[in-house]
Amino acid sequence: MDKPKLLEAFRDFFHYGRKEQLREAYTTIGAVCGAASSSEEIDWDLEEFTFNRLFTGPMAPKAPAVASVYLDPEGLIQGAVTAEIRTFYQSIGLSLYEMGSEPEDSLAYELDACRYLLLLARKVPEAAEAYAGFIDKHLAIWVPEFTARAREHCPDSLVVKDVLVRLSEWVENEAGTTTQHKETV
Amino acid sequence: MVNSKKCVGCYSCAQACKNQYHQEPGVVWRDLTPIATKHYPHRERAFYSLACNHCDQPVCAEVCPVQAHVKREKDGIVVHSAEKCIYCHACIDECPYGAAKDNVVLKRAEKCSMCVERVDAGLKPACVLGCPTKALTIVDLATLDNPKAEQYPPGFDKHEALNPSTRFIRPMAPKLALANKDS
Amino acid sequence: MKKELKKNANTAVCPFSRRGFLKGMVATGVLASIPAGILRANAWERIHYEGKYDIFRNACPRNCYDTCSIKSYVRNGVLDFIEGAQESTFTDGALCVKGYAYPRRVYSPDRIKYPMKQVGRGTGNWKRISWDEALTEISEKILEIKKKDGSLLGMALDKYSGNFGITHYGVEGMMSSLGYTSRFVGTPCWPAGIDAQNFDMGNMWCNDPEDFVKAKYIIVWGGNPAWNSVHTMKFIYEAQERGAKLVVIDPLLTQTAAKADLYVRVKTSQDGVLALGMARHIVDKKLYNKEFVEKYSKGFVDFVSYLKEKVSVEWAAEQSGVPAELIRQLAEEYAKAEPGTIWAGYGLQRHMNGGANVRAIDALAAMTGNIGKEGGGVRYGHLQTWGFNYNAMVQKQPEGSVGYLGKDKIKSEFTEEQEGKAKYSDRTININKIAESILNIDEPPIRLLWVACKNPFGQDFDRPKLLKAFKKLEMVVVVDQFFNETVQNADIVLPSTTLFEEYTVNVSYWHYWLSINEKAIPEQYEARSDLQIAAMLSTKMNELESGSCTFPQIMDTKVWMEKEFNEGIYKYFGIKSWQDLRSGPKKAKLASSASWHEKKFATPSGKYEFSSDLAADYGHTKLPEYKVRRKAYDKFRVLTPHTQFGLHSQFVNIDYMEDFNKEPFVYINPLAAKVKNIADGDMVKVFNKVGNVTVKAKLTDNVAEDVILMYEAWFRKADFNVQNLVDDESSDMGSYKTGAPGVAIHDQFADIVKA
Repeated sequence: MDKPKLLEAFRDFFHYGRKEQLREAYTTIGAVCGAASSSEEIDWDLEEFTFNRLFTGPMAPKAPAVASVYLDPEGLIQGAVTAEIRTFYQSIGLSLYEMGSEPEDSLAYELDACRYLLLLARKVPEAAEAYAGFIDKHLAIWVPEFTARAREHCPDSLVVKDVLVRLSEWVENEAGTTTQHKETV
Repeated sequence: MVNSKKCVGCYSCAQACKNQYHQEPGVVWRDLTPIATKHYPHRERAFYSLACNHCDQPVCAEVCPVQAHVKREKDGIVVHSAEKCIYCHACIDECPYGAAKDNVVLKRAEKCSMCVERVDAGLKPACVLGCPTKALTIVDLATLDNPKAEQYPPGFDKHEALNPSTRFIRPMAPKLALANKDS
Repeated sequence: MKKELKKNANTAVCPFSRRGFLKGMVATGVLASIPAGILRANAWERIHYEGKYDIFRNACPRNCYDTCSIKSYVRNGVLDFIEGAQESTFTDGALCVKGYAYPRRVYSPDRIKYPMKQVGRGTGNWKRISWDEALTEISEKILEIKKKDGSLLGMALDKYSGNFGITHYGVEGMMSSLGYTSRFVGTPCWPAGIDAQNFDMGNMWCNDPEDFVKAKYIIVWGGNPAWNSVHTMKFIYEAQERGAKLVVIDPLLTQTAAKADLYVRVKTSQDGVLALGMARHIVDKKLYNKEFVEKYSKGFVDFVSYLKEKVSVEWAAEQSGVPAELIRQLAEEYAKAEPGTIWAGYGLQRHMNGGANVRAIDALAAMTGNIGKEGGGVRYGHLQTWGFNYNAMVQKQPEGSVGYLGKDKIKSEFTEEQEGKAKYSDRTININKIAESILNIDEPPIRLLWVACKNPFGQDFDRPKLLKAFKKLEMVVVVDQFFNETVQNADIVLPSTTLFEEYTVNVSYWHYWLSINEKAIPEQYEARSDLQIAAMLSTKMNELESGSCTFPQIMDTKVWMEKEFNEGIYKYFGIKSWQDLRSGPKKAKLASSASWHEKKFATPSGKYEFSSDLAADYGHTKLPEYKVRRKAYDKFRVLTPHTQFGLHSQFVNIDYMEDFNKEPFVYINPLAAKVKNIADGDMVKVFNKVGNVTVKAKLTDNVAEDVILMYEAWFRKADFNVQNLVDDESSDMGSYKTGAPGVAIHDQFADIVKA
């Protein structure tokens, strides 16, 4: 499985959130993982509206795609959790284009960091360790809760729901894999 | 010193504390208690701003199994170190003033420590600086010389064994001249 | 679950940079080979774990007397906490329950992040669009209107006081730069009192509030500073400590009333009657100030005749509900005090006879010689410190613009009258009758509505009518930070910045301090300031049709801020440049803390006018005569003053605030409750000809037997809006200085029943 490509697709799905990019990203996810929902029945407008209701706004999002919401004691964005992720990115040479304009622990950025680490790991073994840590100690802890909350609020959606399921499964698999890997070593 | 005569119940102190420490929704270290109408005649028009009373004989320090509550020699602040907390609930249950707050999410007790980091840096606690009417002040009990300062004003429970350090000035009520009906 | 996580997060996601391998990678060019993502890949740098804070200066731009100077503590581009500036003797280190919620507000996950479009107004189906797409759609609509109507009068602006940063007048400028448009003018807030003070003295100009300490007798009349101007209270306390007596006159036993030496409950909106009664007694006892009335006033003799003929203390007592004995006592105490001062609150002029009330109170102060005295005066507000360039606001219409041929002029209490030499002008509409206006205006009708710094569905009157009116609009654009009822009824919403995300400059209409507002943190997500939106719109308009918009395409809010300063401001505040404000706010160099200290009034006669011809020109009596109050149209009077937990619809929705203000209430007198079989905590329906509200009851005798009280606020989780009970009946005054009369907000009535 082309993991970096999958991560890229997940990332784009959550980062751009617009019909065309949702469709494109979903197609890629299907190509990498196999068998997506049949695309004839999909109402892409509905998917876009659902996406915004869940993650963007302008109403208070039902399931913001930011780690702090699920991890910080008061759900405080730009608090301790965001600061830790910022520090982590800095330690692996990544930063936002404009520090302070968005929280670093937004899902799309975290997926991008994962993608970057996987690509880096091909040359630098320590990157694989960082990747495993990031999944085990961070993503694996908040993403399942996030996807569960989001799924409560998208009864009519096919695509958004499917992507949430796949994302959650993927994170859990990766966590499982890395744990396994550690055990054998 | 809580001067309820000056206090206008504006909640700036309570919010200044939240602004400083970012406690989660539902966890409030300083809050306003409206004084009941049996003690003050007008509903929701007089308040005691209360957090931790930094007692002379703090029960929290007594019952804490890991010494997370410690009363400082130099200024009497009862400092709470939340990271030491093992969530045994003893202080939460034992403090009759409810100063030890139950943080069910982080699973630990939390308490006002009089902004000890600010105090040590020569700054005022957030609530004291943040009070627009100067109703909250830090006083030295050793030199306090105000005949109006009370330890147990009406509506504030007496716990002499603890000997709370907070002092109060009572609110005043106005003379009234009331038109009966509006019409 | 969360505790576990916190511990895990600490053991954290290994910063393996300690081994410094990243440096090596830079050398071998490994980093360069990784395809770019949405995160930026840098050459490795040392991590700064702890560092000092970056300090910035900000100012709260809300519509509030106190306009606090703020000191902001930022680290790593994130606002951590704020304090009140200690350099200002007014702010003096403290903010308020709303201001301290700012750090939470800035990063709320509920903030609007991107421009969005609602597919089908009111459906709740929103798409994210780019700024380019949003501005294109809006620009195309503007051009369409121009083509269809031959003018841009079909585009209207609804804006008021959501943000008083001086550069935000750029929104009005944006409208002018597009052409002649329709403008909602006037103010729902304080216009009646402004006109009153202008008729009497030629301007609205109050003392420095810090000189309250010099007063010997203080009347807080129809205002509640303990909630709405907390920072002034300390000066009033100081005056009391020096022996001053504080009297509060109000239909409600407010928090301020609880701090008074004497609280007088007056019948709502009969303040003018009470003042006239006091005046009559002062005349009878010859306690008026001979020097002032003879040298510095016009029409006193006529006023005395009026009082002797038409006003008696007994009559005033009956009308106002204040005993005759007490009226005499108050009159004597006030007249004899050296000095006495009156704070005329905005509540007392939100009535059909509101302006008349203020005129009568002004007369009391004038006849006792309290005007022009330090520690004295009638304090309402001032605009002395507002002498900026209004650079952003003054823009030229594009060549060939066609507009309204009537005689309207744009008026605003904050800025100079804009009288164009062109034969065309904007079309002005009463901001307080927005629903009716949208429904009835034609030739052309209002097609495109731009809403900024305002929340009409939250705040405006006759809400049910407003819903109807919006159906008529072809496009609604709303600029805001949070989703609210107005956004719910919009087509396009544009995310706006908070005060920490832009440069501007701020002053107050009460105190005399000047604050700079620095950009402390980057714009969150794609939020933009009103100024930047105007600049971007201009770029897009000119792209589609060259010359269609003259607004300067300047995106740097610092530049806009700098352009506001002039010699007048520098001199008034004793500064050399705006940079001087970075070390803290500065106070105006006042010749005296008293307004009108030279007793040179700005009236036609140059004197205080008991008898004002100008007032007559505007359809009022020349003298400050009694004006009958609105007749009750239902059983209970409904009062809907401000809550301390929010500023209109701002702040109440923040979750920090919900810790202290969980839900709305209606306050009812126990006697009335008994008759209606309502117990404390019961749900109650309040209803009248306009609409209804269902809310929980609290019993208190802070209100009179036939008065019910609800605080005006908009909650996140409750379907509560007092505007369902408020009609759009006008106050008497306001047209002279602000272009439209105010609203009789507190002249509303309703009945209640257990729900």
